[in-house]
Amino acid sequence: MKNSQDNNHHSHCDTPRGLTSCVSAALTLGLLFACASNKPSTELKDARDAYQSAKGTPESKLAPTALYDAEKALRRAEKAHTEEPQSMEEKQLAYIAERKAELAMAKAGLAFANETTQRTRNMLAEKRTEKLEASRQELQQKRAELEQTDEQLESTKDELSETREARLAAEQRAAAAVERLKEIAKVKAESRDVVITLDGAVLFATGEHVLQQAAMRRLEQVAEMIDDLDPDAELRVVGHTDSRGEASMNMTLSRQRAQSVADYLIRQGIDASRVSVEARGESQPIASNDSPEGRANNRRVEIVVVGAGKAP
Amino acid sequence: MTVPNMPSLALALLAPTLVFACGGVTLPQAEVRDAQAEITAAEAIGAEDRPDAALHLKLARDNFEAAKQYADRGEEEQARRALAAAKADAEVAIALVEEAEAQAEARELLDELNAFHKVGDAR
Repeated sequence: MKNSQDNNHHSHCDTPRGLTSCVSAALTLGLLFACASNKPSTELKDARDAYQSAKGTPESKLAPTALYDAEKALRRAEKAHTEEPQSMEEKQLAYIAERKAELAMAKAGLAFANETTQRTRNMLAEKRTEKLEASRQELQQKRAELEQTDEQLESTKDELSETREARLAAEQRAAAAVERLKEIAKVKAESRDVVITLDGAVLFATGEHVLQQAAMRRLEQVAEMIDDLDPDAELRVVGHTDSRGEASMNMTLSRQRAQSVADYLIRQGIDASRVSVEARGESQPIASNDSPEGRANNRRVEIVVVGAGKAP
Repeated sequence: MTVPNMPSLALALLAPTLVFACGGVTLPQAEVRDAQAEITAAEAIGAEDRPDAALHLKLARDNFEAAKQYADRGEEEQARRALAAAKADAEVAIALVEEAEAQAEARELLDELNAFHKVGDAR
């Protein structure tokens, strides 16, 4: 290969024209050789690229020392290239520079990951604290609600107990009142009402509707006992007669008598709004009008204490 | 993760002294030890288990061997630069492992945080 190149050189440079072309070719080859040898090595190009990549990453500012080391290493490789392009020194230093750039990138990545970890850890701690605080508040609220419920329950229990006691006392008072009433009148506890039947002969003189003295005393007792039975109950005062005389007269008389009883009860302190008056005349006998005893039973005034009877 | 056994570690640390001492030139022992220590650290941290780090660990070992050969041939400067290259490769291997571990930890925490957000959104 070397001999053939020598032979060719001889044949071209023998003539002046050939010599000129030969020199020209030699210069061109020389320039070409110079250009080729000034080119950076593959290692140096890789190192430059690696450094640019490292420098270009947003995280590079997180590893400034490593990046600076990479820059210094690249500078040494560039210097070696300037002094002797393509030399072993350039290649070795460029190799080291490339590694330094890669190290800078890894260190930047590491710093970024550590920063992310720290930031996330802080956020997690915040979230955990928030969650804990929310749970604490929720617990506190539940506890307060529970305490309130307990208080309400206690209060309700007390109220219930009071109500029971009051009802029991009222029932006892009512039972006692009924027993006392039975001594002075006929008392009948119906499903809902208590009916007190007063003997007409005791209350009024024959054909009269003005209360007799004895009747007043009895009605005072009745008024007291009605209060014991049920102090709020509605009172219906119903007048009845026997069948002697005109029915219309009897109707009027029964109304007047019922009204006399009602008025007297009101005078004893029973609220007028609780009291109503009804007249039945001879229409609702409870015994035969043929005998004196039967007629005596039919002449009566009933006081209906509405709602004071036992519940159905 | 590769755990270096003690006899091979001792031999590895001793070997450069012997090799470079018997060769054409004697290299600065501090540089030899530094490079070897980085390679050992890369092995200890588990560089073998990650492909990118394993590649740099291999390159580090190759460069270390090359350094010995340059030293044998009396090429001191080349040998020292090969040692520096070995050290640089080992450092890259270590940094890659550390970066990967830090990224994994960050990811794990981010997942945990996202789970927190999801629970919050669901409420």
